[in-house]
This record gives sequence, C-alpha cells and structure tokens, in this order.
Amino acid sequence: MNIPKIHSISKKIFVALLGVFLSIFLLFHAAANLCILRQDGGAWYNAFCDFMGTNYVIKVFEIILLGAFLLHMVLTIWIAFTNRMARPKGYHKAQRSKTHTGSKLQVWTGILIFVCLLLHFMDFYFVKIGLVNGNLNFYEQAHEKFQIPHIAISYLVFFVVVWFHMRHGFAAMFQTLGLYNYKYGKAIEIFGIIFATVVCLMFTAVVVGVYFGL
Amino acid sequence: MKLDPKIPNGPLAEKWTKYKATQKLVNPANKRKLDIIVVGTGLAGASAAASLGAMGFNVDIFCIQDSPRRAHSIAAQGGINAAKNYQNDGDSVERLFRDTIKGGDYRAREANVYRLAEVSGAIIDQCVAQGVPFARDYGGLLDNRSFGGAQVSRTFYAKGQTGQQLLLGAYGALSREINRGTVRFHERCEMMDLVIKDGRARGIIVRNLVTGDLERFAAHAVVLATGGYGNLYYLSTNAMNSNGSAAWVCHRKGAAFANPCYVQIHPTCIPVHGDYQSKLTLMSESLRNDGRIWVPKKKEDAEAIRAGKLRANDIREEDRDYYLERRYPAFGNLVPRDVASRAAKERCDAGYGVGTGYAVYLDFADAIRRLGKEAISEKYGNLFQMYQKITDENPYETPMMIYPAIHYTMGGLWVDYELQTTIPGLFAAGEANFSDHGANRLGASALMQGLADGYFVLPYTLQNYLADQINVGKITTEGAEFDEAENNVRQRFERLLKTSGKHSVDFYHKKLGKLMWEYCGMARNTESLTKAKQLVAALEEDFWKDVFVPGTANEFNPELEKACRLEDYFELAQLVIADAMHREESCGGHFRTEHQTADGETLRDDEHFMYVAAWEYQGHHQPETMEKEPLNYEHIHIATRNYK
Amino acid sequence: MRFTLHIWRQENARAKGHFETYEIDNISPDCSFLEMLDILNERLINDRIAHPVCFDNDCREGICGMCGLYINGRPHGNDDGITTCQLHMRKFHDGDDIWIEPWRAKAFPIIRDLVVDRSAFDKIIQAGGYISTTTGGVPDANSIPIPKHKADMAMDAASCIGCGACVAACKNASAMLFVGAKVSHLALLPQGKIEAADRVKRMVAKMDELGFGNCTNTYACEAECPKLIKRQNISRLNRQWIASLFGRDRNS
Repeated sequence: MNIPKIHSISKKIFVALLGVFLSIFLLFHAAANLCILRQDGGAWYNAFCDFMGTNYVIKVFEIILLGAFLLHMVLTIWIAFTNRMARPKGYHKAQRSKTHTGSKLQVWTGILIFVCLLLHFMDFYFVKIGLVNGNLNFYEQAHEKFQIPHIAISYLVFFVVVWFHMRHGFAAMFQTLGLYNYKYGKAIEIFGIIFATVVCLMFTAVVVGVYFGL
Repeated sequence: MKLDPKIPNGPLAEKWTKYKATQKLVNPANKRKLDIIVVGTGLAGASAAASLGAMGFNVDIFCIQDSPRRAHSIAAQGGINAAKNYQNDGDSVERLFRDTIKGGDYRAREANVYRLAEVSGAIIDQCVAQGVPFARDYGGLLDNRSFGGAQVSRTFYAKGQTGQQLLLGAYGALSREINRGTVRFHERCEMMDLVIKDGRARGIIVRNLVTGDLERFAAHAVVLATGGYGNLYYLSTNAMNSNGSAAWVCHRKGAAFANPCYVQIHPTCIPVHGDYQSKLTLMSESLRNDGRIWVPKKKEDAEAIRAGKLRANDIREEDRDYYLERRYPAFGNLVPRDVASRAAKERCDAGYGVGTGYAVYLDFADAIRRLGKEAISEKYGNLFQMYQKITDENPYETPMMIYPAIHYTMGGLWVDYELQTTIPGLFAAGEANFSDHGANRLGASALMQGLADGYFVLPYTLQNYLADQINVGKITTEGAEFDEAENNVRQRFERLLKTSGKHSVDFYHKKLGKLMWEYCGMARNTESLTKAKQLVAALEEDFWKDVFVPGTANEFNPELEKACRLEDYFELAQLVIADAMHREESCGGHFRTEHQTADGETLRDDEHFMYVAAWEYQGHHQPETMEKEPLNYEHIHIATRNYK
Repeated sequence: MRFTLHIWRQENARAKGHFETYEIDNISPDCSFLEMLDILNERLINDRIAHPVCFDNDCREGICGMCGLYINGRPHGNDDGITTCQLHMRKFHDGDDIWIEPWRAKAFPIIRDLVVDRSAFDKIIQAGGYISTTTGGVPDANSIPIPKHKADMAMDAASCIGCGACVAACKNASAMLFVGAKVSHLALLPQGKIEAADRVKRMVAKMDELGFGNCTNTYACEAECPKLIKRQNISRLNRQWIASLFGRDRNS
C-alpha cells in the first residue's frame, strides 16, 4: 500500500487548522454551558441539549468533530514519532537553551486532555449515545456531578491543562500558518493567552457556579 | 623556464576586448567531454566552477572543509570595490585601475589590473542577480563606502559580512550546478600532489580526510584556487586550515612562484594577548572611515597606560597623537594598509604603544559624538560586538586597541595574462596567484579579484586553452605519472608518521611563525633575513628530530594534515626569505629598513627592481633560481607613492 | 583556571563512543574555548595520553560555521549570539565540570569524536537554495531598486553560517530555521521571487528526506543561533510553503 507523502510542514498545517476548528468548538461549548447558570431550572440548557441530540446536521457535525479530534491526535503522534527518529542518540547533558516550555509540554498536555476527555465523556457524551447508563437530563447530571468535590476539582485541573494546551497551540498555530511576523508577533501571543483564558474561565465559571449552588 | 606573460597587443583599454574577440572557443557539444578540476571553493574557485559548469564543462571541485561555504573568503568583512560610479564622485575604470596600480606600489602588471577594473562592475551586477543583499539607501539603490587608498566611495558592502554574502552567492551558483550534475563536489579532500603527463597538468592526487584514502582524479585542466600562505606566520587573520600546500606542490612540480616576499600586514587587528593564542582577529578596514587612530603624545602617558595607571579616556585631546592624520593629511586614517601598519609599528617601536606595548588606539568617540551611537551601531554593530566578545571591553566607551597582523599574500603562483602558470594546463586564480595587487593590495580588492578571475576571466582563458584538447580524448588516472605521484605522497606520510619526538606540530609551527614575524615581517633587513634563514634551517632540522605525529594515515587525522602543511612551510619560508633578501628596495608590503626615505617612507628602486621575481624550484634544500618578468608601464606615469 | 572536561570520544563513524574525562589546569580566562582544547591536545600528544581530540574549526572568528560543540547542554556554550570559537573561558567558573558533546542528529552522523558530517545542509541548498543565474547576461545592479527594510531583512536572514546549532538545539533535530533563513533571504528579494514556489517545495522535500524532525515551536533554534536569526523566518517559510501549494510552479 502506498502511504501518500505528506510533507512535514503540511502535517503541521493540518494540525494547526484542526486546532483552530477545535478551539472554535470549545468556545461554543463553553458559551452553551453558561446556560446552566441561568436560574431557570435548566429549561434553556435542556432545550439546547435536546436540539443537539436530535438535529441531523448536528449529528453529521458531531462525526466531523470526532474525526477532527482524532486526526489532530494521530498527526501529532506521527509528528512526535518522526521527531524522535530525527535524534536516535540523545545528549548526556540536559538541554539548557532558553525555550518556550509550552511546546515541550504540548504532547503531554494533549495526552492528559485525551484521558480527561474520556472521563468527561463517561459523564455526558457516552450517556447520550447510550454507551453508559446515566441521567439523560444533562442539567441535572451536571448538578449531580459538579457537586461532588473530587469531580469538581478534577474538572478544574482539566481546564488548567486545556489552558496550557491552548495557550501554546494558539501562538504555534499562527507560526505554523505563517501569520506570525515582526509586526504582530507579540499581539498574537497576547491574543492567544486572552482567548485561552476566556474559554477556560467560562468553563470554570459553570463548574464553580454549580458547586456553590449559584 | 621562459616567462611569457602573453599580454595581447594594442592599447591597454582594448586588450581584453580584443582577446575575447579573437580567442579560441569550444563548441557546446564538446564542452561536456572536457574535464576540469578546480581545487578550492572560495570566491575564485566556487565562481569559476559554477561558471564553467554552467557553460557545460565537466567539473570536479574539491575542498578541505565539510562544505564549500567554509572557505576563508567568508571572513572578508568590509566590502568589494567596483568602478560603478553610482555616487557620481568621479570614479571610473581608469581611476580604479590607477588606484590599484598605485596602491600596489607600481609592482603589478598593467594589463591584468586594467582588466580587473574593467570587469569589476559586472561582478556587482552578477552578485545582485544572485541575491546578494548589499546595503541599500532609503531609495532602494545600492550604497557605497570608502576604503583605504581611494578618494572615491566605490566599495559595496553587506553589513560587516560582505565576503560571506559574496561567497554564499557563488556557493548558490555552485550548488545549482551540482544539482544539475555539471559539477561534482568533493568535501573534506586535500590536494596532495599534481600529476603532469606529457608536460601538461592532467590530474591531482587527493587525500580523503575522513577515511585517509588517496584518490586520483584526471582532467584536461587543473585550476588552483587555494588561497594564500599567510599561515606561514602561524598567527594571522587566516583561518586555521588555510594553507599554501596545494600551491607549493605545484611549485615543486615546476610552477614558478612569484614575489613570495610580498605579504600584506593588516593594520587593524586585535592585538596578541597570550602564548596559547591560535589566531588573530581582523577588525574591518571600514572602521577607519569613522575611527581615529592615535597613541599618547607623551611617552610617560604611554608608560602609565601600559602599567595600568591611566586609561585611554584619561588622556586629554591635546596629549593625543593622531599620527596618521599628522603624517598623511590628504588621506588621513584611510592610507593604504602597508602605510598604516608601518606607522603603527613605528610608534610602538618608539615606545608609544599601549596595552602590551604593541597596540594603538582606534577611537570612535568623535564619530559617536558627531553621528550618535545609533548610527555607529548600525554601521559597525557586529564588529563592535565581536571586539567586545574577544576582549571583554566595550568599544562604545573605551577606544579599541589594534595592532597590525599578517592578512594576505600578494605573492603566489606566477601566471600569465590567461592566469595560466608555467605548467601548461595549470591555472591559478584568486589569492593563489600573484597577479593583480603588486606589492600591496588595497582594501576590498581581494573579493573583486577572486570573483573577476572566477566569473569573468577563467571562463574565457580556460576555453582558449581547452579548444584543442578535445583531440586528446578522455584523460585516465592510469599511468606511471599517477603511480609515482601517489607513491610520493605515501612515502611522505610514512616519513612523518615515523617520527616519535616530544613536540607537537603546532609547537614548531608557532616557532616558525614567530621567527618569520620577527625577522621577515613588517620590516626586514639583510641582517634579520640572514638570521631568519639560519633559524628556519635549524628549526626544520629540529622538527625532523623531535616532532611527533600521532595516529595513522588511514584515519581522520588532523595532526597529519598539519604536519604535511608545516613541512611545506619550511621550504616556503626559505623562499620568502630569499626573495626578500634579493629585493634590495622597499615597496608596498615589503619594507627593507636599508631603503627608506628620511621620514620613514618606502624607497623604491625602479631602475633595478621594476620586475616580477618568479622563482623556480630546484630540489629540496637547493637554492631556487629566479627569472625576471619586466614590468612595462606603457599607460601609467610612474610616480612616488604619496598619500600626504 | 582549572576544569574537569568530559569529552565524547568516538574513533570513527561505526565505533561505539564514550565519555572520557580529562583534567586541565592553568587556563587563562582570556583563552578561547577552542584554544583551551588546543592546549589539551598539546598535552595529549606530548604525554602520549591519547589521540588528540578531533573537533571541527576553521576561521575562529565566528563566521565560517565550521565549529560547533554542545557544551554543558547548550550548542556553542553558555552565551548568546556566538559560535564555539567565540566562547571564552571567562564565561566559566574555576573548577567547573564541562561536558562536551558533538551535535546529535540522525542527519548529522559523527565522523570522529566531536566532528560531525553536515553535508545534509549542502544537499538542502543544492535542492534549490539559490537563484538560478548563469554568469553574465544579468541586468545592471541598480536596475531593480529594493526597499531598504526588505534588503535589511534579507541580509539578516542571509547571515546564517550553516553551523547546525539550530538542529543541535532543537529537541526534534529540525532544520526549519536553516531552511527558513535561506527561503526568507531569497523570497524577500525581487530576484528570488520568480522561483520562490519551486524553491520552497524542493528544499522542504529534501529536508524531510534527509531525516530532520518537524518544528514544534520550541524556538531553541532561535535562542542558540550564533547569528541571532529570528523565528519569523520559520513563519515565512510556512507562509511560502502554503503559497506554493496554491501557486503555479515549473514542475506541476
């Protein structure tokens, strides 16, 4: 079988574009979550979940999203693998160059996100598609889960990890897509941090809000 | 040996045009059947190989480093001259020609120098087309600066890395030809011998420096572009691996060596500071555009500085001696290199030196006051940084300390107008030949000459030589000549590896360099040269008794490489001394203390020494014989060189 | 000053290497790092201790790009914007342990001790890192004005010396900064624009083929570049690559 040749930079561009896609999804996800904080007994939120659960366009979109997620992962692992191959024998002395630590953590935060995501799916997504038994009323489900301290804390840790992943990913995405330059370099980095912070704060707000019964 | 410079007839300005119009050519289909060997990948070698490859010849190119881009042309900082007259300041081919002849103290061949000036403009065009990022002004046009020995601004530059950018341009052109398959590149290969068949240069023996294997290469012509022999002096601005051996093995095989005593001493180098020192670092001549050179006016101040009791900035303006401006008001700090070097030596010998006593100040305080620190940093930032890294002193605050050092060798293999040596089929280009700079090279002219030879001279003259070679057929690496050459190299290795003394090669090289600098350096006289001759002979004897070359010939062995080169330097040193001894005059870089004017300037003897001294090898330890090529100045009026 | 040196020794490409420890004393702080190694070698030769340590070096003024040692975890040692030959012993403390390793990358096999084969860089350039010109027949140098800031940016990118520190520093042994610098240098100039699409394709393809890693935006290359070449050049390389996917070129 012929594996189509994808050049190193193209691979990275795919990863970056998928990253953009996933970031936008996260923003919407976070925005939707904020409905939980409405004092309406979950009316808005459940209506929203209902729509998400039944609309066919959304179902197709769901598959695309999952695909994007998996592809983002597969490509990065492929890249990480070729990167390992590029230096068969390492240095005795650990690197002391001034570097962006985000990049070194990126694979690990990525893996961590994957694990957290599986746990997150156990609570919600897998329930929806019927893989796991649970409360299909996600408004109640959320209240149930987030009020258990260790779950709430785990989620907060999850968001911190997502923040790190997004912060580096955002700046790296601009670099990979060739948009980083002398003029806007700093601004792009700051924008990335703001974006990651806003999204993560939105998620955090829901968990913290539910925990304290707001 | 008969020297025939083969200068075309006719008026000077038409010689090259006429040559090109009447030379023999090789038809395109035949070019790929003709093989050419180019040794060296500096400006001359890379540009020649790229041009010849593009024309369709079959080229093999060799270098001792791991990449063509390492050649020492890369280290040239200041710039490249060209008679473009973009500044509208009165420059012309004629003026560049005259400046170069005068700068060379009337010891260069008129026709060659005129050709050099003539093609200089095309070099800049070529380099810009290759993507060399020369400095530009705000209108987007090319910028110029001025260099020593000229009263116009004709020097093109790319920050303080002009040589690098020009070499990378030629390297790009070469890489393209390698990619097209017209040129084959051999890295980490050192030429060990030249092979002559039927009186013509037909091949070379190289040592693969990684495996130690000896390899044979045959061709219809051999081009030597291996640079100069400045490392004879051990401490020089040359790279550690720069050496004169390739030229020297050709000399042993019969190529005449011309004007070996003309070595250039660059006035602005970072002074020597310790025994362990391996090389001297050049500070670009362009610094003299804005820097002012001085020493204290009072001896006691100089002594106090040397003792560390006073600092440069403590000396008041009226107690400073700007000796170049004082002695040469017309050119000031921009006098040619030999003049500036000697003036520094004169001050230091008289006891006014600073630092270790062998240094003078190069001061930017005035320029910083006038133009601002920004402007100075824009122009010379990387040089200032380099200085600070080495000396740990900040040149924006305290003046730089500089002292002359060996930089360039005007002498080299004798070549005719076609750049062909006395061995038919062996050509020499760039610093390896002797041709264009006379007794002293002007700043920013080495890059010009290297590229002129490679881009615009050799492609014509080599073709003229090769025109009838198509009848010879393929040259093979078989035959007694190749066997003998290879055997000689093997025996040479054995001889060196047999040694089992107690000193390293560098130990002897340092000693040789030091004594050459002392007795055959910036100033020479009969007495010092006689002494040098004896000391070199004694040192060579000691070398064979007490050197130790570790390892074997069949491995990566830098010590063996160095040993071979030093062995050649011993012979070369004797030739430099003999040439310096016979030239009873002072001219350019060759300063005989017996021959100077009352105020210490060089005193030429045009009546007796207006010739090129071409030396012929007579065997190991045999005095060489000398042939004269008279220099006929038909076009130029000969005058005393005057920069006052 | 005195130092304990731990130096990687490897007799040839096939041999198994190891660290060897040497003590060295009486080193002046003004001595350069390579001169310190010269002194060590002098001793190894004189006292018949071992074959002198092989290391690449040439100009010793920071421009030829020949030298390159991985010293205590940093390519070219503990200072910014220098090559190994510009590193001086005053940057160390008396009594320091100094670990000296060769560049490590699949694309840079070891030749002996600290000497590595960097011909991969030449191969990348040969794949397209030039403007196709033949000698003669070019327009006058001033016929195409180039904006000063573009010429300056091109110059900054072109100042790459090809030493390989970027690859050595990169945790992925990626050559993106090297390739980015050359692509940028030529793409910024009007003369180089004509072949830009073709050039970037060929250079990147060659880079991949030779076994260099991918860029993962750590920017150790930028931190260790002796000529301070910026990562913006990698960004421009990516931009050129994307443009080449949509642009027309000779081979497609």
